[in-house]
Amino acid sequence: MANRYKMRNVSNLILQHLDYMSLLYDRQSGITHIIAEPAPQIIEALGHDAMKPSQIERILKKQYDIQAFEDGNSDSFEEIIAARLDEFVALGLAEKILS
Amino acid sequence: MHETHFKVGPASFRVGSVWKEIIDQIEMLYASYPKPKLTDYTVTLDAIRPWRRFVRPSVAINGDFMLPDAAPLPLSHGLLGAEMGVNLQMALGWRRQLILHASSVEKDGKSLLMSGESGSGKSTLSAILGHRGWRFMGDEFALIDHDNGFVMPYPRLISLKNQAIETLKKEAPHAQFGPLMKDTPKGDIQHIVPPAQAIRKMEQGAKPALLLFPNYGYDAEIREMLPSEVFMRLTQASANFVGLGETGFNTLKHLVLDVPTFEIAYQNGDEAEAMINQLWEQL
Amino acid sequence: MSNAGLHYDTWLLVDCLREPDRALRLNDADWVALITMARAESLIGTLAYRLKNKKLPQPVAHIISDALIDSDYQYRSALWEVDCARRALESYDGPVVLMKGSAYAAAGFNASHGRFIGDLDIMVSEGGLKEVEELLLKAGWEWVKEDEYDEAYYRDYMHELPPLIHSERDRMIDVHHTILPKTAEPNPNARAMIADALPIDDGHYIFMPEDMICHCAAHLMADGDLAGGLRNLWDMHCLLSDFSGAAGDFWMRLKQRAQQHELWEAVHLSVRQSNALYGTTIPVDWMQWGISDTLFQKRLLARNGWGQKTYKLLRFAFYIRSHWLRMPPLMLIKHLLTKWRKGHKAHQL
Repeated sequence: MANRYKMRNVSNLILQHLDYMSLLYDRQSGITHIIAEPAPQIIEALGHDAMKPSQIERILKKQYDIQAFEDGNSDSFEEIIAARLDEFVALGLAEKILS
Repeated sequence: MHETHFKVGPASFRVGSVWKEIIDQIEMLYASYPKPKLTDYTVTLDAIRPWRRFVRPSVAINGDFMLPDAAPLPLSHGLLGAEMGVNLQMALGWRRQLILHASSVEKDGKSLLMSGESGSGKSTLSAILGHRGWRFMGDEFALIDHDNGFVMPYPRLISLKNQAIETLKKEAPHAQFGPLMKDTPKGDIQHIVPPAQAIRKMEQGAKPALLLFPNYGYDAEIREMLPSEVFMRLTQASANFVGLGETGFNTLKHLVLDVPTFEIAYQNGDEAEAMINQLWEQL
Repeated sequence: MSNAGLHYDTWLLVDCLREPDRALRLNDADWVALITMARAESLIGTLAYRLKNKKLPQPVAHIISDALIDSDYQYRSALWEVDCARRALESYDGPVVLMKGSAYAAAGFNASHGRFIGDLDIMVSEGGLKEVEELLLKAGWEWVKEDEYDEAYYRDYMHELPPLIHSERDRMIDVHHTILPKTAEPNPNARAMIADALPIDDGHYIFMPEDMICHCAAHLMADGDLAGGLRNLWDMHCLLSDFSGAAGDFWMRLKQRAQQHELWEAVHLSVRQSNALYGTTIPVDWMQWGISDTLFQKRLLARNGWGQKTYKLLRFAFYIRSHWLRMPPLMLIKHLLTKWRKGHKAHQL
């Protein structure tokens, strides 16, 4: 059973797309993160909800041409999403809800 | 304690020293700047030990904002000490605008920003352009207004290093120069008073129209930069981005999104000027 | 030539903190001296907070606004470090007690308003040190490079681990297991302090009020050479003002607790100083002013309008005194000699 993830406080975050990178300013910590795709898309897909990586994958596959993310990567897209989410947890941006 | 006050752009300073000669030098070079009584920052240039005022004089740089373990300087480099002390107050204390480690000049009400590491030539270029039809706004710090994104001038004494000294003596032979300080930790240094209109108009900001990262000593090349790259470079070039929190984030974000940015490599001032004019025409 | 700045001492700062309206009558030179001294004592944020809604001269209003932006940043970063430590130590069973500025901020005390907050200080039981150290190292903190003498000194004699710094955020954490070095004369009961600590919302703990005052006094009087004394005393003033209103027998309980921690002298002296300088309301039978109080006060106020330290000899006497309090004499000589040698070497470089 995969864990679910939730952004800690979405209203504290300012997301600004620039080019292939995006800016993420966190009001709570005052820290600016510069993040690459698909991290910004994961944050937008999550919104205020708690989701499993597989759920996020489904949302993103509907919205984007996922081929672009998977090119040159041996990991599955779901694994990429889970890895990004774990990074968010380590940075204090998201929390993991153990199931 | 000998004392002098001066104002550069929006920021004002009180400098005190046990040595009258340092204060006299500052007063001569800052003669045309305003002298407010109530100042933002205090810098003191004191003897590291009481007797070192007289025996092998050694200048300790202190102020409202300090770095631990700042190395003392010999008395002959006192003016550099004042410059370092004043810079430190701005870098560590100023919150009224976003501070970028950048030079700036203005033409037709629009400003050109030049950022980069020391040695990139941004300071020398701004000094040269200030004598070639542009208004000099600052050689070290550009202040970006949080409300309208304008560049506010900070036209302190221009600090020339090594070959730039000769370059500017040719460019502006009649300008007022300070004493030549040889073999400082940053090489040879000489200050030059900015053109009179730069000081007269030092409260007049200008909307940024072009941002350049000059790169001195390479074959001529112009490269457009991506916003994310520019943002990263400017967070490193900003003294107060982190401390300003959300305000600083928004100010920098708008600058990066609104202002076209290029890296230019060049071998000499004339080459750089031609590239700058070309980019300026294309705006 | 002007010697005006030399004639000030920090009474001006103390006066304006106590009664902010006094600042409204200052002339330009007074303002410059006041702001310079407030910055030198790390009290500019506190002063700014006290002055923020007053009608100030324009140049001062700008300075105050800068200071408020900065203390806002300090406050936010301090709370973020608290949050990071909480997440790193989630699996640790014992209480993690926040100390000093971070505790005041996390608990929302008046002392946190405008306060400069540097490192994160936490206290855990001595038995829990190892586990806490390991959890922090796992979460990205690392040892600040110290030379061998300092490291050995921390390990053997001090009341805290050598400082750790976070590799990405560049912020320090000090992990204590008691509030004074093991070698210090007073021997506060750390076990009782941790046992009686109070939980706050986020899962951390803070000292109970009496212990918080004891720690503040120990920090002000015994630990350190009275550097930053005016700011620590302002903490004392705010804490006393917050706590003493609550229950009638506060002062009695404070005295008993201070005696239990062998900190009665420090607490009593701090309370008298807080009353004398900041006008803290204290019971009449706590006011017993002596010669040493006058010396302490002189030391606390020893700074001029250029932000420079004055009364150098008195300061040095207090430096020796602070080390005397922390270490037995033989060790003190060894320590001062090592420190002096290092200082000497550094100057030659």
